[in-house]
Amino acid sequence: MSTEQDDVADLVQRKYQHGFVTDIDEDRVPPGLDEDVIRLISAKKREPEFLTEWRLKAYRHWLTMAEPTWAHVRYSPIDYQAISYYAAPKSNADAPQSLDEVDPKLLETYDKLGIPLHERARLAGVAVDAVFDSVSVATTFKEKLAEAGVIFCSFSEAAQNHPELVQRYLGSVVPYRDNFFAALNSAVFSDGSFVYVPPGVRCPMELSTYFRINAANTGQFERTLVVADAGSHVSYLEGCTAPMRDENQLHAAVVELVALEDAEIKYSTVQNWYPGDEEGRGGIYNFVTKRGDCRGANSKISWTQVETGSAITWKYPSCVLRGENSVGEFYSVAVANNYQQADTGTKMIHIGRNSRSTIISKGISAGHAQNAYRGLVRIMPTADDARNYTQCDSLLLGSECGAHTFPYIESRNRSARIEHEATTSKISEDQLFYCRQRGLAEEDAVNMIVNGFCREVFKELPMEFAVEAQNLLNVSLEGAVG
Amino acid sequence: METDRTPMLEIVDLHVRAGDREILNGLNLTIGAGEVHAIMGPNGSGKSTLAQVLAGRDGYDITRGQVTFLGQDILDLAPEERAQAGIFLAFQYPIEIPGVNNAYLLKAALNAQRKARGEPELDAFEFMRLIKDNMAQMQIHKDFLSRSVNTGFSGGEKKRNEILQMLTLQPRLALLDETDSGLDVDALKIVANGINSLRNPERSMILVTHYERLLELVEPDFVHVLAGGRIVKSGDRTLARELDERGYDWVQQEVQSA
Amino acid sequence: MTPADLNARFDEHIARLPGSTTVRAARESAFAQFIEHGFPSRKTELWRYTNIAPIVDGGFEFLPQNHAVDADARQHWLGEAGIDDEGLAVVIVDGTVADMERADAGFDVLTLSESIDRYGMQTSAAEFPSQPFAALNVAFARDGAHIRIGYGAAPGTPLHVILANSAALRCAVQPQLIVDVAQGASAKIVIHLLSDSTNASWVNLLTRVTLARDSSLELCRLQRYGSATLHTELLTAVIGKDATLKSTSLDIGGQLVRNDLQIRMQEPDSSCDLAGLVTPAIGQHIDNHVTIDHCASHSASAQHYRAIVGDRGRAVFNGKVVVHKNTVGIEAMQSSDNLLLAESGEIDTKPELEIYADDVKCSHGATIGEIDEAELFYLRARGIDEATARGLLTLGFAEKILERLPATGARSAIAAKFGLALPSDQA
Repeated sequence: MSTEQDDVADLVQRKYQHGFVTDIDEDRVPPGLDEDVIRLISAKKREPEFLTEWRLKAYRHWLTMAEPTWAHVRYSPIDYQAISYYAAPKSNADAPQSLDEVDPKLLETYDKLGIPLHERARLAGVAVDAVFDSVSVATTFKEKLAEAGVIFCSFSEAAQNHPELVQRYLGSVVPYRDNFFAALNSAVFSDGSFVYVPPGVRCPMELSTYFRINAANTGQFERTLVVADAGSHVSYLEGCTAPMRDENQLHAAVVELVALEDAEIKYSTVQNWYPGDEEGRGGIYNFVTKRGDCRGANSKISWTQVETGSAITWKYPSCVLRGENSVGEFYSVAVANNYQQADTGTKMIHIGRNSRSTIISKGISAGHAQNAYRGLVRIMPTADDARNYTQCDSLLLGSECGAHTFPYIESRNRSARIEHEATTSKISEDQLFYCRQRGLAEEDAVNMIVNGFCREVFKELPMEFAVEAQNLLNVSLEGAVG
Repeated sequence: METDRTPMLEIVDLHVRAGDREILNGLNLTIGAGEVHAIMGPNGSGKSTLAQVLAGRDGYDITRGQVTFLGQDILDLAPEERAQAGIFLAFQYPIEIPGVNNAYLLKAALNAQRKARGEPELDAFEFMRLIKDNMAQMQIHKDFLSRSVNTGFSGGEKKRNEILQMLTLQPRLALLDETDSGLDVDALKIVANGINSLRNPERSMILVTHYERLLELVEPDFVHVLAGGRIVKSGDRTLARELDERGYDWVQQEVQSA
Repeated sequence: MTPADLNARFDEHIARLPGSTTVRAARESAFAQFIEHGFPSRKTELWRYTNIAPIVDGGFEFLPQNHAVDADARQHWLGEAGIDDEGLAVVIVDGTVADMERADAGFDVLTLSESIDRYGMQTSAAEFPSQPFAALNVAFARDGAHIRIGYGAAPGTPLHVILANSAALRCAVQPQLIVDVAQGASAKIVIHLLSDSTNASWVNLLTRVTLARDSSLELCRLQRYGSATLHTELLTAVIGKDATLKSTSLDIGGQLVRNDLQIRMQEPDSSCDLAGLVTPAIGQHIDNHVTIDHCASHSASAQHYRAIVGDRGRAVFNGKVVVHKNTVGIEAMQSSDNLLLAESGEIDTKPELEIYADDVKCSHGATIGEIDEAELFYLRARGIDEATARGLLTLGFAEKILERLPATGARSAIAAKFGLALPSDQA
């Protein structure tokens, strides 16, 4: 326990020292959190008055809250006063100047994942100006989006340039009172993305493509807001299969999605933050609140996630199915290896008539990891003819790990129909033998079977990521069997 | 290449236990290149165990004896190493693998075997060309390739899939474990044609069965009766017919009185 | 009833409750355990769906002493339970055991006070730290039965245990049942929970079952209280090597019913097969909370729970399977199937798996819905009118659990409760 605590302190400490050594303390607020710090963050970002006030209200509420303890995870206490809550984007001066300076192990991983060559430099944190190609590609994308009327920018830019949209939708899905980590995020959020798709517009590209190339250092308290106006359609992918360099241990992001009438949002996540080493030292704490509001009739929100990273994951991408005939989907692969702990799942709140939801969750535990699915399906009395189908499977690789399933199913409507199925088992000896009899090495056989187990989820990912996700799975489970 | 005198497979005094139970009890069998042997016997006589042990299934203790394949001792080899050396087991109950499609498994298996033999791997195009004819021969529809391995297949489809895999992988020694069970007359013919098309002087086969039905269509060179964990009687294909007419009791009585 | 009120009651009654000083110490420590956490609140995960206000606000009387139960009363409740004179039965009325014949038919029965005199308190609150009501039972337990089935015994007929409540006053009844099944023994026990229609007591039952090696027990529990009775219960069972517990419960009556089962698969090759049907309507809350701990290898468990929910009824199921470290060959299956018949009903189900070993085959399934339209159509296409078809399908849904229970008129009670139309020969 105490060593882990030391690690946290150490990490914070290192960052602190780093700030002085590189002499950019002007743009780094000292550790600690109070109203002045929040005013300072807001001022640095030139935020409109309403946003400053909103942050302060969130902060005051956060002070009254206690950190949740119900999740099936254990970690040493976080000292919220030891965290620095504002750092300006890093300059390129201390970044590696070319791929030659990057850790060869990281490059090896990129290779295994099949990351295109031109993206590797950026992912490895090589100084941005060096990557000429990507920048020009990004500019082309930006023009194309503007032509379609799609607003896609950083949250900070949105707060300055589209304050009316931000004011209207911010906190309308995840209010700052929602939970401890959401309140903290609302008070101190660093940056994130903002997307607005106007009525009737089909976003001309996967925002994933753009995002991958333009991935900014969004910081540890990311805030994302995606609004799909009536009849619009957007597909967004965050994260990356490549391991991201990040020195912040605590991540508390909030993602809000709003789908108005006939709109559709597809939100895909590939999360591969540093999971800690093989002994369970270090690694990211990933405490995320993600929620989508199917506000209009016939709207649809679909979450797909592939979670392989982080030491601790606490994450329940949810759908509030308010609109008549609205549809919520959740497809998840969560892998926990070594000493990782994941408590993840979804909530489907059915309010609108004839709303439908599907949950497909595949959990894989290996090493000493603990992997829990936690899900809520709630049918309100108004949700006539609502439907939910849940399939929740866990695969165990090794006898020291745990796989847990905690579904909450609540129905208050007679005409609703809910079906939930779950299984937990180890990888089948018969399947392994069959593949090996056909000539496959044991590790390849395991990878093939595990990928098959996750197939229903992978096929929901944007095409170009599906293959990477499979490779990611194999890399994450290296050494888990045999 | 081995000389003609080296047997394809030689099993000497094989003793196998599963838990407390002795299943094979001093089994001897020699199979030459190009030969087809049928192993028959009552239920529980150890026929399937023999096939599983030869393919390297875990869960059995080999307490005595040896098995050489093309002059190499194989008992210490992993299942995939045996497969790569050319041993193919057509499973009595082919395994379902959800989410993994047939083409993917077969291509991965073929390339793993080719790689082990130092042959170049096939790309998707070459692979498709290779299996197209095999599929036609087994009367398998092309959408079959994109379906998950054996998942939701009928009994007949599963067995045809096993033979399709065998045709594609071109093993040196094929172990066909009750491949005829659960097949209707038409499917049995397709399966038998598949097996016959693979017969050649360089390839040997063991047909494990307890009905004579398959042996009408795939004529064995030798027929053995396995009972009580060893081969108690061997003969030519007339023995199979005799067993079909008279059952197994007389063989066992003959053994006991001897 | 605040913890302070209870404290006063406890001080007042403790001297008159059965048991030596050691028993008294056990009661005091159980009571201290209760007081430490007080009544459970809905903020506690295990109680999130159960509102126990009717118990806390009930103003119940704790009866400190046994009272006489006359033969007529015994006869009356035997009749209510549908047991003829020949049946072997223990009858407990308002918490006191009625005089009984001690014919040795393979069951050796002591009253709880006899058992406490002889063996001390057999239950310890420390065994169930998260069960405040069970702790309260240990503190206040006054009467009940201690049933023993001796080495290798296999009684040919079941033993009936009737827990009946007639008192007009609002009693807090704290009975205990202790069942010890010795090695190689095999028996069946039927528990009847009954009360007068106006009875508004609170029954807080603690049942402790121990199954030795190679033994088996079939437990049937039929709850047909009047509509005002409150009930909380903990059944704990520890299952030995190659031993089997089969348990089936049916809940028809009661206002607030909360059943907790804690089953421990203690030794290798133990198994259990649990089933339950609840039928809440008209403001009833009925709740089954099952925890199965697989502590030993090759143990198997099955749970089949069903609910039929009518007007303003609420059914809760929470089934948890825990597979502990260093076990192999565990099989656990769990199903929760629920039929919601009325617009104002509510069903909450939470089938959980907590698994710390890899050689397992565990599954659970849960369904909630109304009567299947396709099935309904099928019956109507055969010429059965819609109301009758609904009746048949509703009882058909119940049948999977009812078929495990002795015939007691449960079918007609359920039909009457939900106003089901049935063909004349089945009504």
